[in-house]
Amino acid sequence: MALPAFSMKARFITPSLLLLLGLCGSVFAQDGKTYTYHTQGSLAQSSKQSAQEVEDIGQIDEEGGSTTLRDKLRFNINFQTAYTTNALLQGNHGSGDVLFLPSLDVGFHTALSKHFNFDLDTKVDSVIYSRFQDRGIVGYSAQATLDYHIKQGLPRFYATLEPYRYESFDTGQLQTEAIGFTGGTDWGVPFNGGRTLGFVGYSFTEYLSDPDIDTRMVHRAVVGLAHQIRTNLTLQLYYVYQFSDYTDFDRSDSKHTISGNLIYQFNDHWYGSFTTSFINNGSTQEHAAYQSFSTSLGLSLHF
Amino acid sequence: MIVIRSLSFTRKVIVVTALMALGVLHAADVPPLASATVTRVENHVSYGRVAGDKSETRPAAPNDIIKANNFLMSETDSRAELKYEDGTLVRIGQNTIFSFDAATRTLNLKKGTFVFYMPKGKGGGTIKTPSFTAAITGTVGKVSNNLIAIIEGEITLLPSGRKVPAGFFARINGDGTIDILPFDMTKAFDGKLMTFNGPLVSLPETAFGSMLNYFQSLGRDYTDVNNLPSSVVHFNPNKPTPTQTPAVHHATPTPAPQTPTPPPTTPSSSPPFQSPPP
Repeated sequence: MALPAFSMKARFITPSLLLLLGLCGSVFAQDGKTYTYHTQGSLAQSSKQSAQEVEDIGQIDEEGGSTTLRDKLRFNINFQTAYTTNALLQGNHGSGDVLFLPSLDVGFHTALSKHFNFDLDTKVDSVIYSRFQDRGIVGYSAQATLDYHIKQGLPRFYATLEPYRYESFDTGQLQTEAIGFTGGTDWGVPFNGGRTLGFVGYSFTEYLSDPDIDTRMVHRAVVGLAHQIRTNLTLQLYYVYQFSDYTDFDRSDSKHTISGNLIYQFNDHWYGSFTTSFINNGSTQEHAAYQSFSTSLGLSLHF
Repeated sequence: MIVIRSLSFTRKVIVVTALMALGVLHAADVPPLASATVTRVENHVSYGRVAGDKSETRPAAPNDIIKANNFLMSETDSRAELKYEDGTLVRIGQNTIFSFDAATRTLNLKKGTFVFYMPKGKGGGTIKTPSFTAAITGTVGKVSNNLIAIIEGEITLLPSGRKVPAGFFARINGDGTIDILPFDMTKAFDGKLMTFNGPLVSLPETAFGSMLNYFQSLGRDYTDVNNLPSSVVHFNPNKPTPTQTPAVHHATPTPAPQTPTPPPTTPSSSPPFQSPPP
């Protein structure tokens, strides 16, 4: 089955090829370029992968070539039920409630070049309270992100434009709306044989809001760890620090979030999650400071 | 748009012969891929042994030792993972026949698919399918009969010597031409073999399913929205007037009292928590 011996290191291949290039003179001159690019016509003639190949190694096609729109689109429906010790977000744990958090998002992702990607995510999400029903909200948001990744293993840089609008679930009255401008960077480092990912990230967002008193500048830093316990079971632990400075109002907040998730993949489309999180939000405004503990169960359909 | 044509037969022979000679000279420095251990089997995978003109098979099982005169053969919806002593990892897909040659460190694909991880500095190796041959060093990639996609590192197609770096794939067409084209790296981890038995060693962060995007999305949730100044005004139970006053949308942070009474009851440092008078 094996061909004759070709075993060698790259450092031997490169000099030997250079030597051969010299010996063969113009042999390679006519096609000395390393990469070739074909027209759509020639791609159409090339052989396609079988369904089994695609299933096992994914679809491999020319970037931006015959990739279909469907390949770039994603749909997520998420149902989450949570219990929080502080639904009013005031003081310490004095207002327990059960929350329902359904959401639907549609995303579009495309590679613009070898280093740049564009992602657009539109989302409708809602929070429905069992006890404090007047706090229910429904939100409409979008995130357009342009990211730059020098190469795998190095930090990624991104810029995001994010408009959102939240309304009262009961009355439909506008609660807040804003457009956010974000610049950020993040970096993931796999270790432990590729089963664990260490993660750090930082972002700065300026939200221009209506009403004006919500206008703010937000610095956010995250340190996280994700570990694949089994093929379909992942544990995530992370800490987020968020500093918000309200520019049209005398308020600044320091929010600390510690969270842990277990995510179970039932199949290609269905995911289950169990989440716990602790939040300590310090604020220069007494009514905005709070601590809460939450736990939730979620089910997601992704296709 | 240029199409690279295959070299003539004579030139191929010259190149291959020279490379073979260099390869043989260098082979003594490189540890052979003597054996591999089956680390995972999914559904129906056979372990085969070639003895002369005959071959015999039996169901493969984890911890089977595969040697150079053995092969693995998978059926539909069946997969297996092999781990070599030097850390090289190979995952074979469904309807695949795979073997390897120890001395030349050659991974042979007779049909089907496989993905591989070969650690750097371990001597490299060769991938051979019915359509092409490629020299590899420390590399992560995907292989089928007429296609090889590189996720990390670089390979060299033989005998042409053309390089295929990370983010590119080489496709051998039916007419013998070779396309070397970029592919969408955000989809590099698509395919069951990429996560079958966990992410491949050394795979970057995207193997965890857009983890970066996940963390990016942690920014804003209902606790942020319902704790904004406007929301606090709206929900604050300590409002002086318990009427269902709507939120102060478009209100200025320091609204001037419309009437002389009631006087402000909160410190001037926090006027927005004070609802406007009805």
